[in-house]
Amino acid sequence: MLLLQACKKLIVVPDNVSGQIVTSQVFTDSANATQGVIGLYTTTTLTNWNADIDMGLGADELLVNGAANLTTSPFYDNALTAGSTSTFAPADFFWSSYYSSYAIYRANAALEGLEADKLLSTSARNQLVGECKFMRAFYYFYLVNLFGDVPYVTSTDYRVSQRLPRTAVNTVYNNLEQELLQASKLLRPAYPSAGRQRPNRYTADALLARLYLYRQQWGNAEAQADSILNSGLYSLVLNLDNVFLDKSNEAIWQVGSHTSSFPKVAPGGGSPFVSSYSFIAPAYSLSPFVLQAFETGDLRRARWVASSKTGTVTYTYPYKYKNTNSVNPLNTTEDLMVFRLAEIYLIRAEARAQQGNIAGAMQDVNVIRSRAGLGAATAGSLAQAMTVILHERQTELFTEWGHRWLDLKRTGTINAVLGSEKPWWPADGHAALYPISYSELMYNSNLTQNPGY
Amino acid sequence: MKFNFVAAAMPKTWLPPKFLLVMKLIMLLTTIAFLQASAKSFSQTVSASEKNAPLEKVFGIIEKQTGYTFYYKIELLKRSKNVDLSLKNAPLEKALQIVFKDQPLTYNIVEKNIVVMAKEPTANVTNEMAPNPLPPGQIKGRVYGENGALSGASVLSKKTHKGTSTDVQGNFTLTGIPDADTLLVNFIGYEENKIPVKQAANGTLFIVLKVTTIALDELRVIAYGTATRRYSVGSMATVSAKEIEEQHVSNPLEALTGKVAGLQVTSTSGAPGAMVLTQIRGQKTLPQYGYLPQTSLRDYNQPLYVIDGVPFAAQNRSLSGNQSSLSAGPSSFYNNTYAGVSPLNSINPLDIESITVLKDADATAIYGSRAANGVILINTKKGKPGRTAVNVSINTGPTTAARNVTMMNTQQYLQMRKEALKNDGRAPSLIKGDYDVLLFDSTKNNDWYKQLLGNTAQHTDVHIGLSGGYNTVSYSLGAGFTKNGFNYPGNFADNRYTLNNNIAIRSANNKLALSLTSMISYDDNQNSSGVSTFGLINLPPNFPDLLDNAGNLVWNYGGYTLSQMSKNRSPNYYAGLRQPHRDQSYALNESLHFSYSLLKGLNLEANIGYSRVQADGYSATPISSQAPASYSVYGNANFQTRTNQLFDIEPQLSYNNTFGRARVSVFVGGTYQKNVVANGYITGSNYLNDALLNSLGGASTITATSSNVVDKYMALIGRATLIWDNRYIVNLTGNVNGSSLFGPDHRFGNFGSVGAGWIFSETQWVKNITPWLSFGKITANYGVTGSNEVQPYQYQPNWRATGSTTVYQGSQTYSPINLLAPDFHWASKNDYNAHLSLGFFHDWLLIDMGGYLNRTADQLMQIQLPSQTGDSGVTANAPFTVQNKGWEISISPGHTGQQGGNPNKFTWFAPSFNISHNYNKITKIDPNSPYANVFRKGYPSSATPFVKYVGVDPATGLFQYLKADGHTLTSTPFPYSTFIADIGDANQMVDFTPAVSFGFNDGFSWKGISVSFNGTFVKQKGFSYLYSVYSAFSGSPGVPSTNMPAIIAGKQWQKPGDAATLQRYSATYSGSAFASSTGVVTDASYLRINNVNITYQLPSQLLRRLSLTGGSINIGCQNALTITPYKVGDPVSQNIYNIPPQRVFSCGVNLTF
Repeated sequence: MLLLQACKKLIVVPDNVSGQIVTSQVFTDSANATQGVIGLYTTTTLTNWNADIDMGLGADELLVNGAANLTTSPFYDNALTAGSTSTFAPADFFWSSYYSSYAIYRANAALEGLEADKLLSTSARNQLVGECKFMRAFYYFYLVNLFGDVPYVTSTDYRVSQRLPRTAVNTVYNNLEQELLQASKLLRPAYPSAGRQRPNRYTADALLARLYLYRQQWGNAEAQADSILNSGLYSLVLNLDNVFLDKSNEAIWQVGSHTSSFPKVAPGGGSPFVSSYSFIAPAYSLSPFVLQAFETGDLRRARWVASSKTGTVTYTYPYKYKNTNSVNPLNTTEDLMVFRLAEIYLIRAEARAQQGNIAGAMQDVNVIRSRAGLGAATAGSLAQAMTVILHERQTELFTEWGHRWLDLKRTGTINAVLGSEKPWWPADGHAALYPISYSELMYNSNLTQNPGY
Repeated sequence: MKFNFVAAAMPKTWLPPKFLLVMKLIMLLTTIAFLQASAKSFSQTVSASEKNAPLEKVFGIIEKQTGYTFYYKIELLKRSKNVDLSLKNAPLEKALQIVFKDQPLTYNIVEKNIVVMAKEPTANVTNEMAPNPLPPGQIKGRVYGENGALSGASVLSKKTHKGTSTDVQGNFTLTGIPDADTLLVNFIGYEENKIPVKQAANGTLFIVLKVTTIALDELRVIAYGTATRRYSVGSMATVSAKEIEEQHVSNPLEALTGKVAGLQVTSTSGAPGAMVLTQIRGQKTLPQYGYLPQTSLRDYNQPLYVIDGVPFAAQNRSLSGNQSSLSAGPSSFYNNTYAGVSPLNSINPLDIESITVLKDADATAIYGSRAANGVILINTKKGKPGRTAVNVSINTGPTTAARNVTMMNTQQYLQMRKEALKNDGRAPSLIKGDYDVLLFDSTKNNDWYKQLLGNTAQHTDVHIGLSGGYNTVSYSLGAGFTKNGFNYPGNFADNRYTLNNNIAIRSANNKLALSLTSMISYDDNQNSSGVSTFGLINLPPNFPDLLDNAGNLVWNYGGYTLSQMSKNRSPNYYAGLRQPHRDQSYALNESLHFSYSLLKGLNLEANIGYSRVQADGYSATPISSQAPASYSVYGNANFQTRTNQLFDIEPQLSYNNTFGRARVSVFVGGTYQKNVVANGYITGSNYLNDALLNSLGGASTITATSSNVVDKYMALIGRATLIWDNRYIVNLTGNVNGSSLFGPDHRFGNFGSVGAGWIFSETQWVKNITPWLSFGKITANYGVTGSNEVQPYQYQPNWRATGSTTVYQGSQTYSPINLLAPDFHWASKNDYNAHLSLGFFHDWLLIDMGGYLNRTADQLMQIQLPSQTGDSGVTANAPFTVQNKGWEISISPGHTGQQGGNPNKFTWFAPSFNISHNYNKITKIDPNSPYANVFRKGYPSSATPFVKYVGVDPATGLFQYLKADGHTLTSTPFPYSTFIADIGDANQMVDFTPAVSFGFNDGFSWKGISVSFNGTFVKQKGFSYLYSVYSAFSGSPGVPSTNMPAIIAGKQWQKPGDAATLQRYSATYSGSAFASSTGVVTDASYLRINNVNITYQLPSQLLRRLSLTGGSINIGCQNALTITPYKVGDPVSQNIYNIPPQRVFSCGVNLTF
């Protein structure tokens, strides 16, 4: 016994390794706990890079110019594969990084840490728990929309999570609704830090509104949109050049760009839309379908679209963000927009239209149209109203967070639209869901592949 | 014999003077056998001319000229007279007569030793020792060995079976021994001496044992001690200094190639200083995908590396923190723990006395958890008592890359490209990247492969060794410098400076012994950080020149940038060579061994060790190595330091004694080991001037991270060995291990082994029926060893402060970095072994046959997980069982040392061979584990699932594969998405680990020239060059700006109906699916002559004229010849985008003063 005690003493080491701490040391006080949570906003998963480009390519927003490449051409070709042991699965980025310790795992770990914590004040804990729940819901929202049924993991214990099969979209949505309602309750209307760089109550409501819209729960969608629009915090920025600036009054949540050098859909040397060389085509450009969608006189065509020339060919690109400094993208006055008021207007418009309030719907749409310098739109039927609303979503929200791709999917128009625009669009429409990568199927035999892959 | 030892040859305290003469007589009688053996060399002569020279000086002269050694006690010489000598080629005996004339001393020649004694007993000795004559039947004696008195030698009476062992001064007493009896005197590592008792005639015996030349009895270093093959019940193999020296390798691990049955040695690259991996008896865990060690290096099971009793701080983990051209190859090859600079390269092979490989449970059990994958013990040279001998060896020669790859020339290349475009039905276009067809000078024909790897580099090795001692102190010193050049252009080299020294001290009463060994080395590996340089290999032969006439980098051609025209958008592949990468490593290994004899047979010992390996990495991207651009270009530099430190203390108590026919040794001890790994990584960026890149001072932005990780390990260990009647052996070991690497509830583990052996050749009836069998032993052992090979603190979820790179709103953030994994615990390996050892014709030839079976069920590893868990893996115990079972046979000469016979006559050396085969199999796999889909029960753990390749479709010219449902799958025309297969379609399990390995050594001598060679034969499957051709790194034949090995021309499909072996050329098709099919698997067996060495011994006349005691000239060649069906590239590296193994020519001299 004595010997064993002595032996135990011999191999005693400090509780934590240098430069690292354990969960209990993170959630000790408000400052440390906040540092554990706000990491959720610094990560590359929040860059709109993949969301904007990959979903934009998959839909009808962007084109691949020049040589095909391994990572993005398959999105444009709507020919994603699950990869294999030696080949790459391009869509795996969304799956593996949204589940990773940058995103869902981090939210789970922080929630567990906050749960066990006894030292934080209730208000501090409520704020942080609300942020984590919101962020987890945000990633799951994209996962189910990209992959369909996905494993719903809320634990950091790999023994629990490693064998989880896919959970039906509907069940995930039910969970997300509950989570977001809780988050909305826990978060306060005031932003917890400077600017709008950490979510507040209305950020949770914005995602909730979108969730209800996607689930066709029109009344709830309208109610959530109302709560935001009536909060008095937000208003549309009338100058289109200022919409994406830091502290834009239209922003519901924007990720601070004074952080790490995440890439943005912005032009500049080295950016994918403007070639560094006068003789090389830029990697991507706006598709003619987007350009054709703008009505004559649409200010967004002039202010949010720019062009560059390679040889004699002109390439257009999204110009919502104006920063052109590729060497030092940090010193910019622009922030990465995630939720903004224009979307909320369009959500309410759709919700109203679907509930028979066509006039109310057109009122909301026309707020957006008027800012774009366009005249008021009218609709006599739900179908007409929907055409107007979806068209407005296409021109207002282009290359932002994959709205176009997801709208085509949720409205069931993807086969018709892309089938006519892209000769290679598969008739069975299986490309609307991304494949789950080979390695995920390999390491969890309870997972199943999406049809068509 | 270049060493001697000065010891108390005639201690006064116990020697009864009146028996002195008797003793002298006995000494002579008992050593007659030895005298006969060396009688021939008695014709040694002495030439000297000295006036009034002290005796000590004269002894020195004689020692030097004859190689004989004087044994004397210093006090004796005080009474001696100086002598005058004038001798010319006088025989030794004559010379000695002259020297000892009129001295109060006399001498005896024993072997090649001259024992000096007093002529008359001194008065006080007489008084002390006179009183009691020995009672009848009582025998006293003293046993001597090479280095003086032997403590613990066994003395056994043949008739009465009474036995004892000698005390710390070599003395023994036996009673009740009849006159007609014979004493058998044994000491480990020495030949048995049989002494008829009647010669003692009631007196005292003075017994000298001779170092054995019988391989079975030679001492070799084992876990905590030494042992012989004769009485060992475990499996081990030793590679001697001579075998290591013959090979012109800079990494000592390379010298083990083909030398040890069951040991696989794999070089990761032909670059100087690059990692060399070893593995004993197969892979025990599942690697990520079961690929070759070179391609999937995670979890490759390597043995424990121990240097002079101290576990090496860096083990065999790469010292490089950054990518470099040393670890070149496709991206999956770089920057992993196994590629880069080898820590073991810090050891100069010429400083090594022996390397012992411990293979099975009995041999390794005492190392407990650290030895689950076997142990490699490296023992450096130690001081040998005697006259100081200085050995100088210098070797130098050219190094070239062996088995170069021939790439297509311009004509072949353009033909391929045009055919590809024709197949695709499109005209060449600059927009689509066809610069090679439209723009490049079609008369240009650059052999880029040759430019990159075709250079001849130089290696130089200078080593000075010094060894000697006097009285109770002996010392050795080895200093070496090694320089190895790189093949690729530029001023790159690996420079190594080593200093190795040992000092051993014994107290006058022989009770206390201390030995301190230090190894210090500095290695400076200067190469380039530009891994992309290896893209040069598949650059089109008509690609524009990369350097202008002044040697400056070229960035543009014909109005276009090179970047846009090269496949991987490299602005200039030569630029990588202008990006310096330097790995400086400092290794220090200190080992102090202390031993104190408490009582007869009972020793208190301790090993205290400190090992430290520090690696400083530097790499930089100068502005001048980057293409000019429209925006500002800045320089960057990385500074990285990794320090591995290990402190080790191991107190031990050992007891050895003989009780009648039983020889018993018991050993108990403890280990406390502390490891510290400190890392610092600093990146300086945005330098405005290349001249400032060597410091952080010029950087506009600095980011830094650091860590310091401690783990601790302890063990209580015990071993008991019983040898009964020199026939039956039982060996038990046990240990309790504790490690801080585990969670608080899982820190301790118990391990042990049991082994037994029967030397049946000692049995009379065996002797009667098989007189030709001189040795026969059958042994078996079983043991459990464990493993704690994991990163520290993995048992709890850790968060990292992410530093300045991920500040959000001015606050730093914390990131979780590992999964919660509280319950992983000690791994354990069950190991069953059996051996049969036979010696034939007086041990002229030894055969060892062994079989083993081990199962690892709980092996610790990084388990691959689906991403939904939040990480790609977790530290856990393996959810499967891997079985390794195999056999090994080795045949070796039974006698070592000088090859007998007339040196002028043609003599074949006795050959040695080893052959081994390992069957690796997964015997159990948890169906719920992440591995259930990847690995299959009944298949080798190293087997990789491939899709079955069924040939090229004659109609379309595309590769075809067979799906599990029987359907054929063809590549689809989308670029980069050619392959849609389900999990079950990869159902062809291919194992790349060698099926059979065979090593051999032989040689001959003739007229002072000796030739030795060794080689290996390995039967294995491997990746063919087609893997390199179709892997994503390269692209498939026909794509723009990508050259291919010349051999593929003509193998491609061209028109419907062709029965081709390769898919049609295409400018867009990717063949990457082919790279994961059985189409890239080939026979990679090879027979390689690893080394040929020719040594010419300088004639003794010349040596004498040069005042040398030894000298030779040698020429050698490493990697001399490879015979293989493997077509392109090297069957070991199996990758054409890597630095091929080097062919090293060497010539040198070796002189001993």
